[in-house]
Amino acid sequence: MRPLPDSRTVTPDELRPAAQTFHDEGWRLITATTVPRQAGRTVLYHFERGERLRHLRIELPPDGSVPSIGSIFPGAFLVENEMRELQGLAVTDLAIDYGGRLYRDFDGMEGWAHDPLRDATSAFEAAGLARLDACVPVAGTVEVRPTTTRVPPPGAYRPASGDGDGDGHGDPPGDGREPEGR
Amino acid sequence: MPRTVVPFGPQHPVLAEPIQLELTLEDEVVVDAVPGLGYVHRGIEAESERRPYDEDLPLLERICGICSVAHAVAYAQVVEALAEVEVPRRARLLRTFWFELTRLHSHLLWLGLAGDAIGFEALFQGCWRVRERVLDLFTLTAGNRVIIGVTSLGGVRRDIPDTMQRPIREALDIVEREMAEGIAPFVLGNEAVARRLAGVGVVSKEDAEELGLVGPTARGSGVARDVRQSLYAAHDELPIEPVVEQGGDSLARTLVRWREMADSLRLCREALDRLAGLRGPLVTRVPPRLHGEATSRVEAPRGELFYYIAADGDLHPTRVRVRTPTFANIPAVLKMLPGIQMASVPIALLSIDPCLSCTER
Repeated sequence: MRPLPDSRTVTPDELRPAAQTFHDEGWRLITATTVPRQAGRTVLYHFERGERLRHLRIELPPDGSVPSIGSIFPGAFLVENEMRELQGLAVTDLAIDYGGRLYRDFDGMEGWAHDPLRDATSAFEAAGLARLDACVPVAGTVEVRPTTTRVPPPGAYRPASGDGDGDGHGDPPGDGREPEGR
Repeated sequence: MPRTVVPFGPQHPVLAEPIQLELTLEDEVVVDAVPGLGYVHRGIEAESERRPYDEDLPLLERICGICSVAHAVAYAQVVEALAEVEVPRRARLLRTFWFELTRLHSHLLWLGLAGDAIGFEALFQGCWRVRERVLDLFTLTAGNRVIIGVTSLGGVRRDIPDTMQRPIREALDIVEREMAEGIAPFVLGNEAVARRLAGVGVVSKEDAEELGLVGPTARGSGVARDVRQSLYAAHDELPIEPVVEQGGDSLARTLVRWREMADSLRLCREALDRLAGLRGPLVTRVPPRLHGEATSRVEAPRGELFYYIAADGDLHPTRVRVRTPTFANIPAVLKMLPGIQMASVPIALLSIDPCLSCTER
């Protein structure tokens, strides 16, 4: 593959000193990119100064990690957290660590620490609720489930303590009569 | 003083798209903000790595409904760089014309939303009424209102014949007149607007450079950075000077966008001048298999949009990376919010013109 022009390959240990040099010379970090390879992955850091681009390249084995450059380029924390969550890249010493919760609606990599279902289950158990689906809406005594029907059938609404005086407090809707056949 | 954590979003009246800010307050003053993303993450980068290059174009164009032309041009440019093909001059001029119309309608949309956020409904309605004129121009020239699908790999899909120049110029004149008569009094020198925007969400020039901010957010803090200076599309013959304000607050960012709209009108007219009587092809053929790596940058309405592609000779790319301007500007929000009143959070957040569909892809 023809590599990017103006790119330099460094090791993970050389990344921070190289990034510091870029910073001191007035280069701006555009972003970082991970590229999957057959044997591991490539991590690229893109810099700009005066409409010129330069790139730092790191070739990593599958279990490799890179150090954070967030203490050198403060804006790097977002892309470093994103690479960790969406591409599963291990980034060490993150300046601002979201702990896998930057993308809050994302289920995470397989085996990832962030597990929304487990988090929700734990929260329900901590609240003393027995089931995760305990928040199913209930109309009267009937659970309203999207998979069955959102509207209770006529007559299904049975208030626990209706007074039957027709004033609307605790009375069934409609005329209050039971449907035929019940 | 006791602290209160208030979830701002993901659903909030001022937000067109979902983002969550966990705001820590002392009384009514923000002391900390933590953003949470992911509510409109669609996995478009990953999906584009499974499609041929030409099918990726309409997919990536739909990352954002507002700056779709910016995504299309940025992607087309990176593929053209990989293929080492040159885009015909007429196509580059047409791309610039539609690109600047996109900037115009995007800034009008934002200005209207900003008016809505500060309770100035007349500004909102005025801006969106003028924006409709621009969308009518899209309909006239491209057949669609928003995602106009005019860009193709190696050029453009549609042409603007000379016979269409007159109605386009008349529409541009109307837009300019309505902006001057209907919107300018609300924006420039209006005390209500100035009091709601001045001094709100201040980002210093040093912070803007340190955080790597882009677009009107950076230029409102005095950073003269505009990717159009790299002379992509037709900017080699349509040069621009970055519009810069020094205030660093929401008012400065508003004024940058206001002045950029006048620039966009000028660039549209100059592109039409050069297109008049110009003959030539609209597209250069791009081969289906590509090798290597390439990057591309354009100045989207919100700032620098960056594309990277890695290709290994297959029919589809190995990796497509999109870094959008809002992604680069989110650190600015974390810088500007601490110290401001809770009531000013909506307009401060809106002042970077956040696009979450772009950001999360």
